[in-house]
Amino acid sequence: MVSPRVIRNLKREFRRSALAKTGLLLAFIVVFVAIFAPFVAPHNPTTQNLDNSRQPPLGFTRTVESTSSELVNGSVVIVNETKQVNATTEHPFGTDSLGRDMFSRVVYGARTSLLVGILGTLLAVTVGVTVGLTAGYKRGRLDDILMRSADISLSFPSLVLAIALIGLWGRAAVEVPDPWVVLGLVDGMPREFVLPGTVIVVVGLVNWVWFARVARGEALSIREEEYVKAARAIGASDLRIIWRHVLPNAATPILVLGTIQIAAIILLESSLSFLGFSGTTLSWGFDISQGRDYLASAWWISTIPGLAIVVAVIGINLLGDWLRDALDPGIEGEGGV
Amino acid sequence: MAEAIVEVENLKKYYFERDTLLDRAMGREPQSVKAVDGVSFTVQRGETLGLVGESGCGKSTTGETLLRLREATEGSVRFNGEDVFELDDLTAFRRQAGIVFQDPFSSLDPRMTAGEIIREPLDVHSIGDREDRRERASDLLERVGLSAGQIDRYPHEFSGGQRQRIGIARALSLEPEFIVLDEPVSALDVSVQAQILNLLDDLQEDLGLTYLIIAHDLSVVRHISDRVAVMYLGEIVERGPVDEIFEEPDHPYTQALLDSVPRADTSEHEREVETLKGDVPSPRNPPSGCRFRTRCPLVIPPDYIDMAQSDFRAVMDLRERLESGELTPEDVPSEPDQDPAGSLVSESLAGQDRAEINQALNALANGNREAAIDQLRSRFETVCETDRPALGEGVHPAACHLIDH
Amino acid sequence: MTRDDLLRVRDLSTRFLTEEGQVNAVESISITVRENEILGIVGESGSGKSVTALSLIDLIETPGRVTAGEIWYRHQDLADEFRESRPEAIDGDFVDLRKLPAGVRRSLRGSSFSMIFQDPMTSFNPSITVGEQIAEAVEVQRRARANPRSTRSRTQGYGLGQYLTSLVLPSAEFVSKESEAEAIELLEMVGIPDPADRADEYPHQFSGGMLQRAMVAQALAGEPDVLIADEPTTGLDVTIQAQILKLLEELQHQTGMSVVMITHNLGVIARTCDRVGVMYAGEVVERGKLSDIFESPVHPYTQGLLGSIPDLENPAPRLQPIEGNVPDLLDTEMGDRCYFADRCPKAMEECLRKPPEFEVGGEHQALCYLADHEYDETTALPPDYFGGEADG
Repeated sequence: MVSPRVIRNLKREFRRSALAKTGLLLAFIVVFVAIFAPFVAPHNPTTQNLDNSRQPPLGFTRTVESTSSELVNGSVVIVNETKQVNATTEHPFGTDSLGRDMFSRVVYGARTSLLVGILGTLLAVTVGVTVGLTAGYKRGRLDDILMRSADISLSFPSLVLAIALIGLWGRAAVEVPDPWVVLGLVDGMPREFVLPGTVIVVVGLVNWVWFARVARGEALSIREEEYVKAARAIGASDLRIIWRHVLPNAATPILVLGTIQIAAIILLESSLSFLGFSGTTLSWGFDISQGRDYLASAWWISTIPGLAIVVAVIGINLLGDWLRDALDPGIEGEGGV
Repeated sequence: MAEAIVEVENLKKYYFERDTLLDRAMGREPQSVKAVDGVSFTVQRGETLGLVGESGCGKSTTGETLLRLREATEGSVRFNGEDVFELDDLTAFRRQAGIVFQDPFSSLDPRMTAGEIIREPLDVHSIGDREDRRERASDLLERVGLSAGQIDRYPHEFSGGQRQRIGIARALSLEPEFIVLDEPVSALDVSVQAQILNLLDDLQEDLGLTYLIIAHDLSVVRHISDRVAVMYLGEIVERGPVDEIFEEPDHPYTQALLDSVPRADTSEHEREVETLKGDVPSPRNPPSGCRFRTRCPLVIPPDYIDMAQSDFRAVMDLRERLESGELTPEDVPSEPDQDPAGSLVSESLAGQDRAEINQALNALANGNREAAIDQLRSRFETVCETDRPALGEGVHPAACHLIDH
Repeated sequence: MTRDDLLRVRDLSTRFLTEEGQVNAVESISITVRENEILGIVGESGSGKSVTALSLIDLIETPGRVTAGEIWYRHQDLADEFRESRPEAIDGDFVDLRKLPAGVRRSLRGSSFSMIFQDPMTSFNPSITVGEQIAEAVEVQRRARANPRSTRSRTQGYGLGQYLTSLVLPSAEFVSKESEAEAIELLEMVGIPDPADRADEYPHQFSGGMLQRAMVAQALAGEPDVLIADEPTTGLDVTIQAQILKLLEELQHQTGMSVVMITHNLGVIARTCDRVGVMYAGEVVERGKLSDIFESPVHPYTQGLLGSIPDLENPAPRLQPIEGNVPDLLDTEMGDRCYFADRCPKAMEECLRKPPEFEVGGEHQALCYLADHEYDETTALPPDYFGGEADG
């Protein structure tokens, strides 16, 4: 599908670009953390410890001011107490309002974001590319119908869709056993992680249109190529042509778009979680929402997951941008002398 | 006696524009581009028929419609006696009739290897197993002059001529009887062109192939064809054996076409060439009667007109410009004693001809375009615009009133 | 009739630095263009003919560069101007353009040298009328003539400010009325009917032939000394090609300018040119008068080229193609032998050393030992000497 010369070009382009390396590094960190979450996380992210609530991250302290009244010698005295809550190495990123370790929560949150990002993108790609290639290749009435439904789909705000589908199906939170824990390689960690089914469907349905548009554009131009005519001349069916000729040649922009869409979907999932529509509580968005009330006093509850989102999105976007530029110049171009 | 392997009868291919729902809603009439407008010919088994013409003549469309790569608007194509347009299952037909395309750079899928490209027809028709197909692809590579070791290379690793060979190998893989060659060498360098032409010659002899070659390069067509059909604006204007067409062309367009080709010879420097005026008319609105009349240097004047042929051509040019709206009242010289016929058409006009043209031009200057058109048409109406010349049967027919007058 | 030299190119080399290495597109060529003539440069793809043309008018851009050579152009005013400051660039009335500042070369484009290209549709801006584009060329030349040496005055501050002002105040238009009128005259000169009306039309409303004529009109705006035509009729229909060639010939007679006709079509060369240079792999392998090349070619490549074209009037039963493929022109692969030796049916041992240019007679020269002596079969190189690669 991708010719060896392209891969050689890619490798060379990659070595040249600092941006690409940065992007890959960041993205790699996110992926690694997500896969090996039980090993990376020092604590179980769901374990609550109310005594340890809102502990600050390393290097910071939280000042608690309390006002109380006491009876001293018959009169009421107002006593102001200032207490310091210190950071400990046990919770390097601090804890949230229920005393759960922030670092562990961020680590597990990566899993959620990445799973939703990848699965959601896969869904969007599958639906979008199928629709787009068919519309672009067949043209005519089918093209009109498919593209109008794409436009309609685009006009649906993701939030409304989320509400509607959750109302319909519930959160469809699928509990998937964590292989590391099940195999006994690590203990003290949650046995299952939650796959927010409805959210994945929502993000897929919201984003398929971009892929459909790109795929359709590619199909429109590829169908005019002579090798497509040649395939028809030997009697190949439309399905075969789309699968064998159009799709591989349309792959490049779709690949690039897919990479960048993962980042967009991670953001979308975070927003949905923030608004309470996720099926899982181990999500960056959810934590940000949690920390809303404590922005002044325990800012890290919102900020740390927020930073995690930034890192993930930047990393993936850098990678996608570089991929687009590296694949862009005419790969099969003949030099003119 | 050779039999006809392909019989095309009254083939028409119209493209309809302005035909979407929106246009209908706005009440616009669909416009048709008459790319191919009633073409008939046969191809004898074992021969090479050349189809020549310039851009817009419909030759490529004819080739593709013939193979049912496009749906015809009207007409029939019989292949080995069977009507191709009536077939429900094209599989057998696709195995017997193949095509080689023009552009070696876009006719091969850049993501497939040479072997995969050549094998694909076999894959589609499920012929043999994997081993057989790979072997056949190797054989074909050798057959077209490449080495079997290149079977796993990608198109961009080959030169233009080599890619064209791969295209030819692909067309041969199903062992067809008939191959349409659509501008097979136009995109190649001259020295490579010669290699490919020789290859096509050899293949025809070795495999008993029948060719329909579509090309605009007349020297190439002369070299490879047995018979030639010349197309202009969707119609065949002349047809016949190659030597006769090239040495004794009957149709004025064929004559002009041959005249225009620069020969690679020192004598070319001194050769007088009568260049045709103007451009090919639009196939959306072809001229009435004979389509070549708007440029034909030999357009036939009515019997009662007596003037030099070049003058009559000038008069017809004037009528063209008038009827198309290109000539506006401002273009008519305004001095009353000036003679617009002289300056706009020709000085050597005389008598009633001159008078009528001046009258018409004055009518135009006064804003009465319709009257001007009518006047000129009634005096100078030629059979070339009223009657569409038919091609006729025979060995060397030409669609021109000069022939049948 | 002997015509004076107008342009003398000596040992010009152009290189391209690509990912695969250095490509020697033009390899030390020497060409002379005389006044009032049509010089033909014929070659196939990879011969370097287009790069030569671009090198002449300094339009080579990275990754390409003209790396060596001299371009002597006869221009008395320029010669006088730089005689003191750059004596090494002056030889009588001739100036070596490569040794003058880039600004000077730029100012010569349009006024001394002009170029027309293969595809007129891509040479025009589709969103501006044809008349306007030609008028702009005329205006630029007009202003340049008023103040030739300063490039700034050529565009006379034609920047964003000027543009915005011209939108608001019609009187501040860049293009003057005189230039617009002259543009219409130019359109008429190239045979476009109703030039005043057509000047207000957009490129897509023109047919291919008409647009090519418009391109010629634009090229003539500065009354150039040398018009370079790079494949001007390739891609046009044969009957239209005949019109355009006739037009170029007529214009050449009318104006007396020199034309460099670059094409791969030997018929076009035969029709229009007085003298011809044949290029292969970046070199001029043979040159001479039209009759020399067509009737008594010496270089096997020229012979091969002539033998491989199907003859319209006397068809041969079989064509004689040239075996093999055009070389890559990669510096690392070219070597010091004759570049055609691997495809040459008459390659001899001495061809492993690059031949010099030999005189065949009069103006006829060839870069081949066969111009010096007969083919010696005893020293012939075996057919697979250079390793076989399948035909192209």
